[in-house]
Amino acid sequence: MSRFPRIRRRLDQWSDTHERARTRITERMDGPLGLTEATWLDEHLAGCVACSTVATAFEGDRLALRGLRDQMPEPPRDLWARTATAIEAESTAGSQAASRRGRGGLPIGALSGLTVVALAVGISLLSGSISLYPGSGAGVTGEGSGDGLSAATVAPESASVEPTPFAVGAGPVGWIDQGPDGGVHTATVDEVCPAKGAAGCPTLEASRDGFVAFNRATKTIVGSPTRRQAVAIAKSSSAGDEIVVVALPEPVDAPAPSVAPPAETSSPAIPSPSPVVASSSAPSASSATEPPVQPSASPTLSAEPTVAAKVAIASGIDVVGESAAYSLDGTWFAFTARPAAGEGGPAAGEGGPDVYVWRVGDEQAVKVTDDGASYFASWSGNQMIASRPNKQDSDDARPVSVTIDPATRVEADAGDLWRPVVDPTGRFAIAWDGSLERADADAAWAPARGSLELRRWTDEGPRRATGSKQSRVVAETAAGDFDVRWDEAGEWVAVWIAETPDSPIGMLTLYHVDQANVRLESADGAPTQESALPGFSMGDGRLAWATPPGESGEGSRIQIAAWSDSGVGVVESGPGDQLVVIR
Amino acid sequence: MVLDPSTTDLRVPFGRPTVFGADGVRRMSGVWDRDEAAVFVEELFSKHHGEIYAYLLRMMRDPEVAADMTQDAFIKAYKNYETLEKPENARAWLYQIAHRVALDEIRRRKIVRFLPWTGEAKGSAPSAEHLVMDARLSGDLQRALARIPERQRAALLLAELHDLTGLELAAALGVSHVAARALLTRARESLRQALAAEREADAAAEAARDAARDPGRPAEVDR
Repeated sequence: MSRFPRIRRRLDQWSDTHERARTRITERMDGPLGLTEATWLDEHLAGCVACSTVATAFEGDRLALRGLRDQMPEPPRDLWARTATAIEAESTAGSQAASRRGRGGLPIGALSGLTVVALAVGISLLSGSISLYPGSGAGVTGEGSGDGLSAATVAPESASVEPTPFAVGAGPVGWIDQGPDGGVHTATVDEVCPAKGAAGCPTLEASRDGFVAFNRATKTIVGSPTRRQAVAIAKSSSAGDEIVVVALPEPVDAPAPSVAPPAETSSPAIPSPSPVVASSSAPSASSATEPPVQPSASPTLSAEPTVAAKVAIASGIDVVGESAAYSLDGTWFAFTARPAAGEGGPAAGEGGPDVYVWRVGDEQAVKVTDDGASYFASWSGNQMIASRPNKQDSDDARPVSVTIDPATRVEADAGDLWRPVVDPTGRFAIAWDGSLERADADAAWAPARGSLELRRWTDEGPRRATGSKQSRVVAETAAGDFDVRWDEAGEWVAVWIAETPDSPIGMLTLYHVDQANVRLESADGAPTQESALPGFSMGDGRLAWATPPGESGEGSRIQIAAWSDSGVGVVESGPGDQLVVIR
Repeated sequence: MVLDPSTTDLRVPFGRPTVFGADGVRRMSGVWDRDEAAVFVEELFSKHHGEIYAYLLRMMRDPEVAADMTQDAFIKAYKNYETLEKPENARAWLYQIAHRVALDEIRRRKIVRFLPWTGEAKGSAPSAEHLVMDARLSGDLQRALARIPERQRAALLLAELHDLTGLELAAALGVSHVAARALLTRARESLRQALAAEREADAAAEAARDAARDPGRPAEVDR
């Protein structure tokens, strides 16, 4: 049940023709393509051995899968007896409860209370959150219902179970839309709904604060904690990523979410005209006094951009991973990068990553490690934490972490975890505990055997793991990238893990942290294993992320999970074009 | 009379009329008829429990857990009986319930970890039944399936083994038709890569075994 018309994916959005071909090959396995695409695909396959081989492999895999139909396992013979007994028990319990309710009149207050309980149970049942297994956590919730179709074909009439929006006091969320009508958007989140996508849920409405001349390939935007400024990172040319500082427009007043049914419109509602409009193609009068900026060239001015002008702080490098972050006081910005892989760049397997830091106001970021194998992990107070393998000449290394003073570059030992992401209070971290292996060809290192887990943290580094491993482990594989973000108090943490090493899509989960016992807990309604693009924003009582765009043109959406004493709820925006959350 | 809940007109399913609109959609009466639900679920079980068990077994790779989850799925079907709007959707609706049960259990294992996340059965020694099942499911394909993300695995299993059509697949996965197709596309690519990795590992292991049998011959790996 999409609330907005689909936006067709443009053909020029494919990274290359082979990606387009492989997507179309799989789509054709599940249904006919349009004439244009079918013709294009046939022509491409006729001339591309690699894609033709992939098409054959897909068909072979399908046949192998269908071969499993001949191996249908037999269920236990007593399965119906067990199920029938359980259903009878359910039925008896339900009948007794109904009988108790029917015997006496209840005051209106009690009845309304029952209604709330019934709604909660109904929603819980619909989301599959009740498990009958021994020891199952009641807080483990079911999958979000996603958009539409299942609700349309499977869910009950809207009158029977409707979610009850509840108020939250979350802070604003900002993101950019890189479509033709894009710009910087801000939304405040006052109300969320316990069942994502259900009828009656509030719709996220945002103000468009202004147009900033972002590169259309912007992949990451990290907002300063203290100023209306951000570092934007865009895939640029073979000369390296574009790493620039931009001034963000002041937000206009964002409207409160509305519980009214959203109107059919082609884009999210924009309630008021943009107060600041300036673009690279038509600079505003105020920008005329600014010197011209060459994104990839070394700037000749101090890094104080305007909304119309951006300032490059590094060139000739490619940013690695999603760990780039400002220090808590907003005076430093650290990230991981390697020499650009373009023409004249390092050979495959050379030019590994190092840690860079930029002092706000300086002209350039500087490299603070030089071993070609160091990764920025997070900030711990005013110290950077970096991780590297203990040996580079082995495929089976262990991590070592160090703190680095950004001003003096003095290093100090910080334990043997990989990329510890420390919470703002400095008491907890989530990190990889285990071995590392070289990723193919690009001199990168990735987790091998071990687990991504929660640890207590001190100024000297991680404390030894205590308590049950089951309650502190996030995942036992993290072959792809991972990204961790905490709220200000270290009470909530969100973890994104790439689906596969090369996947641009990952699974995002929000945990509550039992700080006394150093345990991860699951909260009712919290997003669990949600498909998300890299880069999300955490804090101010909410988690915000962008969903992957769908095939056939459905745009990304911004989803926000916010929490209060009433639980965790979700609200989402309409679709947009290449959305990136400002984090 | 044996009713087929996936195809039977349920307007007078078990001697008790159910209110349907002209569009064939059941209207909620607000009364949850437990007897009707129980009979309906029994028929649903007789028709579909085998395929639901097979799906859950391939998702979880543990026959004991799969049996428990099959039971759980049908209990949930009973409890949520009134949420089924159209009888022709019964099978997809049941798969949707089973899918959510599976994902809940997978998440619970990842988050809470009462059981080791290896696909092995509980306890120190696997049962004979488990060993048999594991041998049956231990081919390259099953190992590759186990390597890909569970939502992608679910999409592939439902589409290719359980023959769910596009709309049924979307309903079962609880996503839009567009999202289901996108998930299936990613799943096929993930499986292709995982199978390639499995076959490469097999070749390396075979080469290592050959080298061990004949130390004088250099190990060769077909790539």
